[in-house]
Amino acid sequence: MKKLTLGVLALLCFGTANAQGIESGTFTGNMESIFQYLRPDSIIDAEQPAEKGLLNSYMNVFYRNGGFKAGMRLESYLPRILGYPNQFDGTGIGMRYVGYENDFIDVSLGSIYEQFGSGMILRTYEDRALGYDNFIDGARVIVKPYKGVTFKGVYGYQRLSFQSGKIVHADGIVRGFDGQVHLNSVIKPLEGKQLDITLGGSFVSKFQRDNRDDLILPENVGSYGGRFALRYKRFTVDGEYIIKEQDPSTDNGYIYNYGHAAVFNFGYTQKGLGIMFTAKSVDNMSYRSDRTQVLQDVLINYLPAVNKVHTYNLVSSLYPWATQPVGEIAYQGEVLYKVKRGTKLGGKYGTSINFNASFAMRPNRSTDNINVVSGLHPIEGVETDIEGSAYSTGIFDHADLNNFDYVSDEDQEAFREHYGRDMNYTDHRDFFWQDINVNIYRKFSKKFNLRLSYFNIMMNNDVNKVTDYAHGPLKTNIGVIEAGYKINKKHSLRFELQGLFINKVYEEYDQYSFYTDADNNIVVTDTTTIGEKMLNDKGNWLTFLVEYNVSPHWFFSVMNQYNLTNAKSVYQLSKYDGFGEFDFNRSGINHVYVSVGYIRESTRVTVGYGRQRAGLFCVGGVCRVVPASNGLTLSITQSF
Amino acid sequence: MKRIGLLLLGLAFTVTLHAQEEGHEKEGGVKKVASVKLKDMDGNEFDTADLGFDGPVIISFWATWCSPCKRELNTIHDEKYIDWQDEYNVKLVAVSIDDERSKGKVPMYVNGKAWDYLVLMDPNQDFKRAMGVNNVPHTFLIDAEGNVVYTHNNYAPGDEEELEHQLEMLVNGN
Repeated sequence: MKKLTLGVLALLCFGTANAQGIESGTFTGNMESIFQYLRPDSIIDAEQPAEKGLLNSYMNVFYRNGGFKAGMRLESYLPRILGYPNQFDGTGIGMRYVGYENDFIDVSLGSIYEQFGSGMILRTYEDRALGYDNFIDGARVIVKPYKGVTFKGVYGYQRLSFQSGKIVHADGIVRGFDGQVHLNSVIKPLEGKQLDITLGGSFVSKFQRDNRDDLILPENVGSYGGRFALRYKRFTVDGEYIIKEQDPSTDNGYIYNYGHAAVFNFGYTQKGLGIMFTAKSVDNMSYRSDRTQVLQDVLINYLPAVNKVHTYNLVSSLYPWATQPVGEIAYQGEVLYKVKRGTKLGGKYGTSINFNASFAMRPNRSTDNINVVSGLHPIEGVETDIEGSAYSTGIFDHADLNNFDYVSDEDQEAFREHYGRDMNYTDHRDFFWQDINVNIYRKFSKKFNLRLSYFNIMMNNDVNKVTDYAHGPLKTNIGVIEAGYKINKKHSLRFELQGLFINKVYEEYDQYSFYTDADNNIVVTDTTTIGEKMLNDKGNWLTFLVEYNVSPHWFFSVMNQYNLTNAKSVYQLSKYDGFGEFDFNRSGINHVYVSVGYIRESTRVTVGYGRQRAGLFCVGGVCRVVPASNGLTLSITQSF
Repeated sequence: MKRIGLLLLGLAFTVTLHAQEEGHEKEGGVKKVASVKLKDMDGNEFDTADLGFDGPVIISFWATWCSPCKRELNTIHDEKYIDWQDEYNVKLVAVSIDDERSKGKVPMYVNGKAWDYLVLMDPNQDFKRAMGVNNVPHTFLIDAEGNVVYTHNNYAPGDEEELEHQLEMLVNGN
């Protein structure tokens, strides 16, 4: 086995060497290596891994010659860097394929990245920074019989993990078929018309053996749906609706409900103005090629989060939202407006204003028509009827956020007493997420520009758990000032000042009265319960960043994330043992991180040193938790 | 299964070697633009290796959530692009790697900024993978024959000057 791998490698190298000399056909590729040396740091709860040094590397090599294509990726985790998922271990070939394509047909064998429609039924992709890779290992055929008509078929096992340098496949097989027609290309009278129509449909099925003695599980689980995209002058409307058949799984508590996912997008654009609206309804739509897997493993489909992708440190990595595959109904609207240059508000270069709002909540799950049969699902404890259905719901059928019947009158009264107001929708258990943000960008001169942003973000930490130290919903106000200054043709500076301010919650804790006896033992004489308002989670934060760029080769940056710990917070309370005064009035915790980068064409080397707080690293609504760390990170990327 | 995969791969590269021997164009190890079929915002399909332009091409990978990418493309658009088109007959192709989550914002952003670029959509990042792009922004300068003559994986204010310098060297040969 190993010899074979080495043989292939040698062959590959030989091929490359030859390519330099003779050749038509092209080799391309890229590599990345990240090394970390970490130290323990008790102030931020950072631990030192036993190995002290960690190293992640991968290299892709792709070859094309005419219609022929082949590619592979070598991956190496010695061991994986901090916070990287544990599905990555050892050194070996993590991806490989061969294929041939022309204008009519495209056939591939091996590791396949594919997306049907918006991906809500099937999407296999990789994100190396995130540690996400769910390709289908098998065969794919794409046929284009006429102009504007495409058929696709894929068949294979998904990559579950990479252990001791070998790909480990999911337990179940995935089969998918997709067709798409651009009507204007196919139907003569529509050709060249302003109304542009594309239609598509997909069918995906997975097969996994029934591995439970106590349940009769469907072994083949189908999923199907259709989509459309219309464009008329400056308007676009598109949508997709997917239905999933009965798919009992760890995710849904082994219920036999059908699932659905629907997304509709509306857009209008003209010069200087863009308007967008998205509506999404998802229920019971976690679709994996192994029903026992959780987190981000072997997902067949992709459910895009309906909210803006934020980039500022405090906005993106403390309280981000990820789609809840089990169910969510979400809306988003955005307006982008550019005030004309030369006007009072627009200035010399024009001013850009962006407004965005998104909102998500739980689907309504009615049990009115469910005749519960006790004891059907003893393991997960979910009550269902004889068919295995636990509830009924519909598309865009959302929970009533004004109905607080589930909270007792006493609790509502206590809430009023503590907060001086009634409970509102953001306190509801079915409220998930709200983000209202606005940013204004203005270039004042060739040398100076300024961007001001404000974010109001609220989320339900019980549903999308991002911290262990939250009580109730997390509600934050975040302000960011970003400024860019160009010193001369090659030298420039960039500053960011960010502040995050969090809500206060009412907490109760015990404080002991005690004395120390003759043998130095502590004797508790009395316990007092104290209730008071304090900051949620870890309290408020400030981030300061300065970046100095020397084009085209160098950058230097210093960032400090400062946790203001001069007020009591839920996090500090978790460290309080009840003895003495609860007073953690400290001067605050600095997280200083310095980095230097050197870029030369397609080579990029960066060295960073310092403290990094615990947080979430997210790409496209998929997140991984990165623990706090203190140490050195060296990374090299190269394309060729 | 795995053995078969590896064997196939071995076979593939053997085939490759043969193909190379038969090839007669001398490329001298120059990287060419990979051929991937991408759509623009209106749904028209383009082959990335045959975009149909007669001069040099700048391919810039970006995303609506990537601030430096947008800085780069806006700076080039506002300060350089008109002159570059006149002087070097260059076209800029902005390849968006936004996926389904943010894809809808691409036309909004592009039209909002009134970019004159050809904007192509790479939602499942097939072209990004084929071009060996680790992260965005990543910019390629391509000559009229489709050879990559300069690449840069970053954006800092002033990088457009270096790109212009490379463009000038390519076109005027000095």
